[in-house]
Amino acid sequence: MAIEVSGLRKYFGRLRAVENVEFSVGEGEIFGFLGPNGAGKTTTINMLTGLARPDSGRIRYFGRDYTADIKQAQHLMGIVPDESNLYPELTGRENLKFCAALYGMPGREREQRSSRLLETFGLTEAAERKFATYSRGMKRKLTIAAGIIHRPGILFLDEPTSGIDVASARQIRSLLSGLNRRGTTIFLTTHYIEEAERLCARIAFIVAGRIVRVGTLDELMSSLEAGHVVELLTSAGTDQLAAELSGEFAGVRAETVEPGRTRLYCRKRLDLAPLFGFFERRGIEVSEARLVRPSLEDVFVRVTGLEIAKMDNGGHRGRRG
Amino acid sequence: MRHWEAFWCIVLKDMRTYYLKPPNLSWGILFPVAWTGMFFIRSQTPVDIRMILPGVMAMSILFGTTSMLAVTVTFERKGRSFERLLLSPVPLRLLMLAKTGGAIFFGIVNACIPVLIASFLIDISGIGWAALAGSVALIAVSSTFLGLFIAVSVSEVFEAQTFSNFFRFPMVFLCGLFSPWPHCRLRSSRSVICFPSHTVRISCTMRSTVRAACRCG
Repeated sequence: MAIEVSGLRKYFGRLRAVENVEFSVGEGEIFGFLGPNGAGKTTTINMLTGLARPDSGRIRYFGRDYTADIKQAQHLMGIVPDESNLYPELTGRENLKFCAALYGMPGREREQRSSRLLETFGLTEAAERKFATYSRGMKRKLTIAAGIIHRPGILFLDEPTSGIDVASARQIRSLLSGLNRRGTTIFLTTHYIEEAERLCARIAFIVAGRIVRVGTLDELMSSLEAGHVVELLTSAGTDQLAAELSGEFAGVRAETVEPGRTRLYCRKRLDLAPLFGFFERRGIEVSEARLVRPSLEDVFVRVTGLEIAKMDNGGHRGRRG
Repeated sequence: MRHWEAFWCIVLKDMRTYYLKPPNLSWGILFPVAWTGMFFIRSQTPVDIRMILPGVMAMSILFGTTSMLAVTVTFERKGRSFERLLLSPVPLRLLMLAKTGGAIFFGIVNACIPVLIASFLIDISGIGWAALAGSVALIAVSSTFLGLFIAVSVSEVFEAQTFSNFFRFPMVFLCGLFSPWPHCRLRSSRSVICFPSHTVRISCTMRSTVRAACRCG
């Protein structure tokens, strides 16, 4: 495992930031860490990277416990914060070379690696310009380049595409996928659910300082109560037909969304052949049948909403924002 | 060895990036130069300059180093680039040494300005250079750490400069640079600016004192 976290806890005075956070990230995996604002994402990242000290819990990287001294593990990780934090007075190339020097890279290698990354990220032409003059997308790209200058095994990314244009965001996502294919483990926090859905192999939801759900996309989707939803476009469709459908197929609830458009909700996979037979017997033509999958956003809203409601009922207030 | 390379890169980057930043330029360079000029122009005789030189040097170092730290640490904390340093594998002590090292060097350079100006006005051959260098280094180190204490306590550069002035100006008055108040000078004898300026004073007059003693002997 690249990252193993267990029983992580952090309080700021009496305010709970995170409580009993547990998850693990496999080597070469892209792991998404999602949660509403103030859920404890940044505090967790700060503890994982050494900017904050946990009150209790364990942090292991590649099987070794670094809880007592995260500094020893900092050469293993690259960190890309939510705001680009390079030096505005230095040029793009100087920034990269400086970051490489912080990781003890020799002079010649610094130069070569910086040039290569500038080329990879399409910043060669802007290499001698001061960082302060870069556009937001360019700043983001250079910050990511600085995060991977020392070829870390694990890359922590906080909101990598926040506030940048669509083209730059696509380019960054493609660069991240490329990095991951070459074996880098990526720990990603984002507000863009779609981004997590596209990039992440597994996702954890954190709400009010607690991990409420961890799993692959399929596992998270299937955790929704709705199960499978099949939508049918038919030549005719009424509430009467929906009632007949519900009666004929056990465990299926049918609903007419609009005339000629019917949705079937069921817990298990639905066999389509008997379904088509049902319509054929009634002389109704089925023009389209498609599986309506709940989006990760649906799962996120459902999970986080439910959990917040539970917490409020349980009287867990006063948590950190 | 790898960490020392990072250390030098941080020192050099700070020198290149921050030595000529506006707050540093005004408080760290122009201010001591103005003070030096003010005292030297006011002085009537070369003897006066020799007496004033240690205090002006100490003040130049104090203002230079505290301004430098206010810029290097507070600026970087505000822009979050300081986090980048904290997240690197460079040991924390070495990191702080790198951040303060640049300021110490800057303070020492600042101390040279009054000496340079004085060299055009008086004969400075009586200065004990080794003792002077030691004293200057001592002031630079102690005032840099005072600056560090201030820089980490605030979040804005202007706050750092304002907070620094709460220490800097009372020290200037207490050390008796303006008026020779014996009680104040006695009480402030342990301040960052006073005790080393005494050693600077001794080193500035060291050779001439020794020579005079030899002649008497």
